[in-house]
Formats: sequence, structure tokens, C-alpha cells
Amino acid sequence: MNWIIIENNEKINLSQIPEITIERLREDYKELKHRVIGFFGKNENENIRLYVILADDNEGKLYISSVLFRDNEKSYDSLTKDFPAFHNFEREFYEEFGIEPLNHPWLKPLRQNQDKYSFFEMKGEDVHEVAVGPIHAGVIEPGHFRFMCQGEKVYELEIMLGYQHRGVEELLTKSKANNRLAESVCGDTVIGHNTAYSQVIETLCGTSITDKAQIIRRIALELERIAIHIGDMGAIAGDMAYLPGASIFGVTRTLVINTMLEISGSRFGRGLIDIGGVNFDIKEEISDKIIKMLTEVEKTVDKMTKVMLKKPSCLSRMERTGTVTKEQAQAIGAVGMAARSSGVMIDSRIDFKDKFYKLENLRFSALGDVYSRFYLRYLEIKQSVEAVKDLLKILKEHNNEDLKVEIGDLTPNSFAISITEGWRGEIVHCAITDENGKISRYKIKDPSFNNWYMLSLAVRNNGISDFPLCNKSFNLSYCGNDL
Amino acid sequence: MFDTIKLKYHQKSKYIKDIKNAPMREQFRGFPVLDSSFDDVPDETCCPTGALKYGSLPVISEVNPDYIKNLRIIIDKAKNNPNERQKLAIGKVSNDLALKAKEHGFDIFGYIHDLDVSGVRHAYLEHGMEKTEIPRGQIPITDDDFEKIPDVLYSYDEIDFSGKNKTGLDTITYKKHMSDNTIFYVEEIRTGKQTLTINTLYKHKNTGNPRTSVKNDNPLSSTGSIIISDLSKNFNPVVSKCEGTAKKILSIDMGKCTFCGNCKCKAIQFTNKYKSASTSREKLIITENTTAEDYEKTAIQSRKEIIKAFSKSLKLRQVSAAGCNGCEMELNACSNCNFDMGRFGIDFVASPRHADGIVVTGPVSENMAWALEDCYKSVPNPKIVILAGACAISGGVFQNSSKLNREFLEKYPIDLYIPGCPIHPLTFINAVLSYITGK
Ligand code: SF4
Ligand code: SF4
Repeated sequence: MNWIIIENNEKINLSQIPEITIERLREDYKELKHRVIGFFGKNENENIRLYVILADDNEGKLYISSVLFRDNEKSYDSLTKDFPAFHNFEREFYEEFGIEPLNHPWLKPLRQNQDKYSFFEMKGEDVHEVAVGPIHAGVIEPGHFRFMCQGEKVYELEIMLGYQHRGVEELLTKSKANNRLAESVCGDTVIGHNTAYSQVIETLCGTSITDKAQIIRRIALELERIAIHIGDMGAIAGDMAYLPGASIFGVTRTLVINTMLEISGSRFGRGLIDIGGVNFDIKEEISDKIIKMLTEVEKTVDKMTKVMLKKPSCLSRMERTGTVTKEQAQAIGAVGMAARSSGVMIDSRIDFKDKFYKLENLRFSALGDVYSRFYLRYLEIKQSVEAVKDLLKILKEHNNEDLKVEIGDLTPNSFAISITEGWRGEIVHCAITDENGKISRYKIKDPSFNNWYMLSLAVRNNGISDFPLCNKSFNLSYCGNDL
Repeated sequence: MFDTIKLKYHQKSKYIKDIKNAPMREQFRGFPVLDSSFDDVPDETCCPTGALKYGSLPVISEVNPDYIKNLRIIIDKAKNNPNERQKLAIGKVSNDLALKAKEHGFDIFGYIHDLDVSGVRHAYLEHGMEKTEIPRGQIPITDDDFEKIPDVLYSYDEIDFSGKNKTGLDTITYKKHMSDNTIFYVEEIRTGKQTLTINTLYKHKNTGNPRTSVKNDNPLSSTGSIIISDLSKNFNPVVSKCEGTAKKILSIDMGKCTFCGNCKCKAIQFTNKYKSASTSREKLIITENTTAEDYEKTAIQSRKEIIKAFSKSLKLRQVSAAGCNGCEMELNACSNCNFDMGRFGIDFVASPRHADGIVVTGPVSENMAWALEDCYKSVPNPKIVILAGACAISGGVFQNSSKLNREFLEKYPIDLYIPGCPIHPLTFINAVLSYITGK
């Protein structure tokens, strides 16, 4: 057995995780054709153990194995040169543990030492570079972008991140329960990250929470998706200078987040989810309010989208702008909504078993351009509206259950993993406990970690003035990547 | 076309006209109200950020680090040139002291302790000579004793507010048992100019039994980093703990609080009041005596120059430094059609060169420290600094991270603190508005 196969939200003992060589990993990866979703190290006495997690999206299973690097092994032959999807994972592993992936095609810093890195350079007539950041023009997070252009055309965009690095993973190992910190891993995916965090800890404690709490978590997750998608559609409209779109989507989003405020006391659902369950109930009266609000929101979004997609000026900005093909997306291991709009249909709500969701993959012609990403958001909003209505219905059947249950102690020497489909895509949280039942390693993978390179690919051969539009159409997270 | 018009109408109906009295949903967790007479006060450990305290009050001591250095100049003047008038700032009145004084009926929030030539001279004349002191059972004071004044002021054992001097000004007397078995007394008078000026100093041997109660675990020297100040500039706050108050005080530091509601109980309630911002770091610490109404009245103290320069237009450059994007989203929301901050002349601009100040969000990571400072330096004078969110004010949920570098915030004066995690757009707009208009 080279791999142990488990389900989402399952705990195993550390001793059950097999040990393989890097060569074995390379061959298995080629053969199994699963997606890499985890690749991180952990100190083990003097040695370093590399944990590898692959996802089988067809069967909804997770494959776990490990590679041991002894004290004197300081390098290995890179996987990225054969499988580009590993590129960021290997950079991260190198940065954190100093084990070098030899022949990695592009071993640049991920979160540290940004100033020591020399960017690509392009030479020739009419060639120029544009450097932006870390502080950008708008009210957004910091990151450095360097465009290599000829005239108006972008040949290559290099992205340098890490400015938001604040040591979240390390902080999460310090206490058993810190939901407030988990919410701040990425403030636009409060529910997504907090759900994943809570599930991992609950799994490690062997606690199973009530169905009612599960349903409320999912309702909040879908509301978050609706809110952010609407906001993003507004931002895309704003970047095309189509102001009615920007304003209307903007105020429509407010309706959704203010409903979230009525549920949880915070516009982004902070304080709603805790390990063991949820803190706030969705009573009949609020449930009615949610349905009423969603009906109104759906109507406005429908109308606005229709108006917008009839405007030639909007269409010409969106169509065939920032295209990422299906092959590219697959090769670099893109996930989530961005991958789906390039035709890679992965959605952990559907792929992994979940008894509360009745979703199906959306059918639409995914072309991988800004238009597709805009239109997919529209479709996902509608899908989520239906999902929330469904969930509210089944919530009624669980009326008498508790919101929260007591949690036990963390099981020592264990490994647990939890995947949640946030609005950007799959959020993976893994935790490992030591022999005293303390968390000794916490690992987060935000979808942005996979997807940032998509943005680079998208702007190639586009006008530099289309960059803001491309960027908004992905709306990737800096803090989720930098941790 | 028809649709667009209808949508515009729809957009208009969502517009908040009266931003100062905008309604807020009752579920919103805003300004906390505390009452420890309910005995269900939760354990401090339930709080993820250490904002909740039940015990001694967190003190924000703002002490002049150059005090000792410049002290000799004042002493020298007192001895040789008594007619020269010169003052030396000792530090800012602590929250703790101000609250105590309030109980005795006077308000010294925002006051500064200082030492002037005449006070030193007075102390020497009255208590500096052996022939007068020894018969009174006192020890004549020396130059070195003046160095201990900050220690006495910030970690006194006993305090007396009842005195009045000859001209009828309030006096405060601090008493402290020192480690060399002497007892120090420092007397201050409350002048009209927002200062407490040292009036005199004397000491005697502790003849009584060695004290049994242990106090002053935390003398001034352990307050850690001490910040630059001179009287004309704002002080920068350093939060430090001061142990030893006997009565347990329940407090929430809104500069740290995430308003998560973990601590919610009978003793701690959250109102839906959103005007929680302040110009003073100390004020953000809410105790049982603080009501939302009082707080709203005094929390934001503007200045004439600010009103003159910025009341009609304030352009801000936002710097996001390692937060979570929550505060950024809310700042963006300030400009949407609901809140429409631009109508008050407050806007975010792209270049620091066009800005009148910066808004910092996030706890400031090592990687962002230089960019933040660069940006601040690029803003032309006069300029203001606004800290938005628990992260920026105190580090918030990330305060224990080893990857932060908060030097910038200690180096430059801060104008406005806006609590929240994330901040609410109404909190932000109202705070900035009342700061620049003084209303
Ligand atoms: S609401 Fe504030 S004081 Fe209360 S537990 Fe949360 S962070 Fe602490
Ligand atoms: S204060 Fe809270 S919401 Fe704001 S950046 Fe910090 S963690 Fe995020």
C-alpha cells in the first residue's frame, strides 16, 4: 500500500500513513491522475516528513502518503518540471524547510525575501516594464505585479506576493480553539475558512455536531457565495466603467450581508460558527426574511445581468478577454469557480459526499474568458439561491436539535483533513496532533494558492488596460495565499 | 432603457440620507455595556484577543522617555536661574488615574503631568534642608529623588484627591513605599492648562512595620518601550499592565475587541451603537462607568487646525498591511450607493501625493512595514493617520504573531482609532466626519 484512502472529514492515526519515495510519488501521480491538494512538510525529530494529499474527484476520495527526508537529504528532483500543478507547493516546501526541488523551472520566493528576487526581464525595441504595488491604487490588499509589455500588449505578468504574511498557521497551532483567528485567515471567506477549521478540529476530537448546525453552516456558506459573487459582478461592471452595474450590484450585495447581520450580528457572519456547532439559530421568522430577501435579490440580479449582457460595450470588454484554456487550467491545477469557468468541473460540494446538498454541475459553455467568469457567477448565484431555499426547508425538520455540542479532547498522534467549497473554490485545512494531543502542524490551502498563476496566464497577449478587469474577474485572495 | 431607470430608482431607495442617525439592526454587536454586579462575569480566557479584563485596568502609560535626560536642566535652572520658566513633560495622565479622579468629581482625561522650575524650587526650599526636615521626621530630598517621580505617579500605593492649595486649585497627593524603605509623597496641582504640575516632593523613613501587602509588581521600568514625546506633539500610546489595584474592574478594550460576542452575558451586553471610534487610545477601554451616550460625546476630540484644513474635503490613501481583507471590504463599502461617503468630501485616492492622510488596516507585517512608512512619508503635510480595525489598533487576532513589525505605529502620531473587526462603514464615516468637522 502506497497510499491510504480516506474520505473528507476523516481522521487517521499518523502510523497509518504510508511512507514512499519521491520517485514512487512521481510515478503514482502520473498513474493515478489525481489532483494534488496538499504537499507540506513537518519536522520529525531531525528529519522532515513531507505529507502529500491527492484528491480523486470522481470517487470523492482522498489519497494520503508521506515522504521522509533524512537529516542529510537536502534536495530531491523536482516534480514541477513534469507536473506544473506542483509549482507553488514545491516553492512553499522549499521556503519553509530548505529542501530544494532540483531543476524546478521557476523557484522564486513565495512569502519571504521579495526584495532579493530578480524578476524576468525582456529586452528589445518598444519593450517596457510596468511595476505596480505592493500598495495598489484602490482599497485592496498588497501584492506586487510586474508587467512586461510591448506597447500596450502584455507579454508576461509576474506576480510577487507574501506581503500579507502574518503567520496564521503558526498561530493556529497555539490554541485548541480559535475560531476568530480562523475567520481572519481570509476575511472575504469567513464562513468557508471557519467551517473548514471547525470541521478539522471536530474530526480530531471525534465530535459529531448536530444536523441542524451542519445545515446552518451550509446556509451561511451559500449566503456568503451569493454576496461575494454579486459584489464581484458589481466590481467587474465598475472596472468596465459601466456604473449602473456597479451601483446596483453593490446595493444588492448589501441586502444579503445585512441579512447575514440579522442572523449572526456581523455583516460577514463572524461569530456565527464555533467548534461544536453554531452560535445562532435561524428561526422561522428569519427564515422567511431570508427567502423574501433572496427572491428580491434574484430578481434584481436577473434584471441587471440581462441589461448588462445586452450592452455591446460591456460584451466587447468581456468576451475573449483574459482567456485561460481548459488545458492550461488543468495543467496548473486550478480549482474552484475560476477553474469551472475554464471548463474544469470540480466542485467539492458535488464531488465529495455531502448529504445536505442536492447540487448538480452547471451546464454552460465555459470559454475561460472574463465573460465566462462573469456568467458563471450569475449561474452560481441562482444555484445557491435554490440551495439555500432547499436547506431552509430541511432545517425545519431538525428544529428540536441543539445548536452546539460539547467537544472532547484532541486525539493524539492523528491526522485530519477537511475540505469546504468556499465561493472561490476548495478550502483545504489539515491538522496533525502530537503525542500529547496538541496541534503540532496546521496547514491551510486557500484556492488562491492554486489560482494566482491563472491570472498571469489570463493577461498574456491582452492589453495592459484590461488587467484590472481580468484581476477582478478572478478576485483572488492575497491574505489567503500569504497566510 | 426603462429597466435602467427602474433600477436607478431602486438604487436610490437604498441610500442612507441621514448618516449621523442612520438606523442599525438590533443584532449588530457594537458598543459594549458592562455591569459586574451580575456575577456571571465570564472568564478572561473566553476572549480571543485579551480585550476582556476582569481585575486591574489595563493602563496605557505614555511617558516621556527623555524625562531623566532633561531633568538636570530643570534642576539646574531651579537652583541658579529661578526666574526662568521652563517645563518638562513627565507623561500623559493614565486612564486609571483619570477614572479615579472622575469619581472624585474632576475630569483630567487627556491631561499631562509636568514638572516646572518653580515646583522644583519649591520642593528644595521646603524639603531640601536637613535643619528643617530632620525635626519633622523627614529626609531631605536630593536631585536623584526627582528621577523617581514618574514611578510614584504611575504606580502609587495611595492617592488623595481632597486637597486644595492656597489659591484654591485642586491638588492630588500620591504616596508610595519605595524599595529602600522610604515613603515618597508627590503633590500635584491641577492647573487650567490641561496639566497636572508637580508642586512639591518629600519623603520620610518608613518607621512602621514592613508592609505586608505586596504592591507595585510592575514598576515603571518594566513598562517596556517608552515613547518619544514633547509637549507640542501627540503622545503615542504603549499599552502596559499595571497590577495592584485592589478592586476588580471589568473592562473591554475596544482597540483589541473583535466584537465576536463570545463573552456576552448579563454582565456584558452589546448595544447596536456604532459610534465607537475615538481620538484617544485610552478612551477605547470601556469600563462599567462608561455609557454609550457619554462616550459618543467625548470620544472624538478634534482640533482647530484639522477642522480648518480638512472639514470640506479629506482625501485618504488606504494602506492594507497584512489584515484579512475584511476591513478593506468595509472601507470599499463606504463608497457604495448605500453609504456614499464621497458626498461629504471624503474619498480614497490612488496616490499618497494626492492624499491628506492614510488609513491603515491590518496588523502590519514585516513585509509591509517599509511600504507603509514610504507611503506615509509621501503624503504631504499636514497629514493624519487613521487606524481602522482591531488589527491596526492593537494587532487584534494576530497580536501574538512573530511576523509583525509595528514600529511605524509607535513612531508616528495617530489621529483616529476606529474599532471593529471588521469596522462598520457607519462607524468609519461618522468617525471621520466628526473628526474633520468637529461636530
Ligand atoms: S466580544 Fe470582544 S471582549 Fe468579548 S470575547 Fe469577543 S473579543 Fe473578547
Ligand atoms: S480587524 Fe478584523 S476584519 Fe479587520 S483586517 Fe483585522 S482581522 Fe480582518
